[in-house]
Amino acid sequence: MKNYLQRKLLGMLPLLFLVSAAAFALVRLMPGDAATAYLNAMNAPITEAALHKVQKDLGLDKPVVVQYGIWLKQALSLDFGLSYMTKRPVIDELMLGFYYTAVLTGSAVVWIIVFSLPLGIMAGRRPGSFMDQFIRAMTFLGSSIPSFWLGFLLVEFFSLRLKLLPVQGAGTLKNILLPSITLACSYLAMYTKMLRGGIVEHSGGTYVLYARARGLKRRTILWRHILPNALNPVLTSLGLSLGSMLSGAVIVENVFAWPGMGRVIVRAVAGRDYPVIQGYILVIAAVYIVLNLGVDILCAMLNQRIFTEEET
Amino acid sequence: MIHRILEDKICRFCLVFLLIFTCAALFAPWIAPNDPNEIHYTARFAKISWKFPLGADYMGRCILSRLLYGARLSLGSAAGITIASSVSGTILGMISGYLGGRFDRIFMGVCDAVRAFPGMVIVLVFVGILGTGLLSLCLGMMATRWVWYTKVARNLTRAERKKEAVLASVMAGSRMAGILSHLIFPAIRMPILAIATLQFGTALTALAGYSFLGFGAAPPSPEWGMMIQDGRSFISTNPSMLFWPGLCILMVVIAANILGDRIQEISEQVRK
Repeated sequence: MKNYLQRKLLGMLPLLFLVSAAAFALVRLMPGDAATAYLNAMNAPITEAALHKVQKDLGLDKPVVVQYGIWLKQALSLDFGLSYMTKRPVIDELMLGFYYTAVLTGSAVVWIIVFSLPLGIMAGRRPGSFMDQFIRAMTFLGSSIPSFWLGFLLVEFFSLRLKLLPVQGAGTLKNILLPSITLACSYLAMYTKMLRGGIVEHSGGTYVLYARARGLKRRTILWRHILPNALNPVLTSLGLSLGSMLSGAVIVENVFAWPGMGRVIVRAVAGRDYPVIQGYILVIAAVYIVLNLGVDILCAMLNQRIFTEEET
Repeated sequence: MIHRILEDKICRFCLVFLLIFTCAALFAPWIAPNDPNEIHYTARFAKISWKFPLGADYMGRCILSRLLYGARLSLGSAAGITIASSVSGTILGMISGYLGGRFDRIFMGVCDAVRAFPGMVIVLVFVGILGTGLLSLCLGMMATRWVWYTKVARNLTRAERKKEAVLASVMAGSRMAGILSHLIFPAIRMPILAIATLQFGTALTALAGYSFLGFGAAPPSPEWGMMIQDGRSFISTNPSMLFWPGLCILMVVIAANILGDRIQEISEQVRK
């Protein structure tokens, strides 16, 4: 177990290095040089003296490796510099958005659990039944529908036609209903399908046959024996999905004007606000990596089999 | 094995469906009733009519014509991404699985690293460096998508590698390229095809999503995601502007998903 964790942790290091290098390279490789871009963004006149000063201020006259070192040190202390557009610290902008994005993602996870668990069980219990076919059709629809389009359809129907829910904004419980369902939709479909597959697969196992022979009730076998096994891959992917949901939230946030990180990044890309883009990349990547690690640890604790299967 | 796909009713239906969309994209200049970017000020928000079969948008541009021309951009880019990443990913995976040993271990580590990366971050890096546009979007998406094929191709290749036919040709002195293309690829192409089909759907949705956010095609180009973005301001008065492009995306993606799922099932049946 300890060995496994060590290996996982060590495996994260090159990943973190790659992300930081990519984020750093972003500013180095962007069209035009960084000093000019900085002056442009600050709306300052571009003169020889000003360029020189900015190059000195930003440390652009030093070798690239040294620049990377300095930049990394600052980034590690969460200092991503000032936003070109708002002139405020990047980390403040991101953290404000991060809270809302986390709330949105969290609520979506609640929907996923609340819906895909019963749907997956209903479909998997009797494969081929009408219920199974119906849920299967729904999962195809759910996983195929583009989230932004679904969002607009929901707004059109619930907010504009029925006037039940607010069109956009954040704050109350009513506000979060539509965005979180929109975000959850495709994942919900995916997990329903995955759970159904797991239940069907495990139902054919010899241990199920044996449990039947022992005279256990079907219900007991399903809940006590099949479901824990079928849930295993679901849990692993749920961790991975959390990360991709954080970035998938970008679209949903823009549909519903939800004040999360997604709004910040879209504005930053449009305005070529490089410090914000850099900061966003680092924060998302870090969260993603930490989540992955957490899931790995969780799964390792739940399922000792990983260690024996690891070497195949 | 391809004939098994063509014999299957569900697959045939989806293929015909996708073919119709492909033809619509290919023959857009001949089918489209109007110029997709021509502005008819008198026809703003025109209702469905003979001149504008699906109505007109806020600038009086024909929605159907824009959809047809948009199909070229959306479907073409999604297909390009899928083909490029599936070919490169499969070749890399097969080589890695064939060679095995240390190279394989290190390369799989790299793949795991790429897989653990949120695709959005890479897309942002590309968009940041190259500027917004369909090309940088496609490159950014390809940069992470090849890895899904690599893993599968590698594992399947490792299983094939142990078969007698492969061992025999290794001993007979065949070159790696020959073994991979003649013995291993035919055995693993079905699962790869299934992934590629499914990935085509996700590529289309993701592409439209990024364009919707303004990372992709620039206006006035009629990319489907862009059209939805255009229509969002008029959702309360003219929802049809964003309804049609979304429906197109949905239909293509559903067809691709069902087809990919079915191919996967067939390839599993064949395996057994």
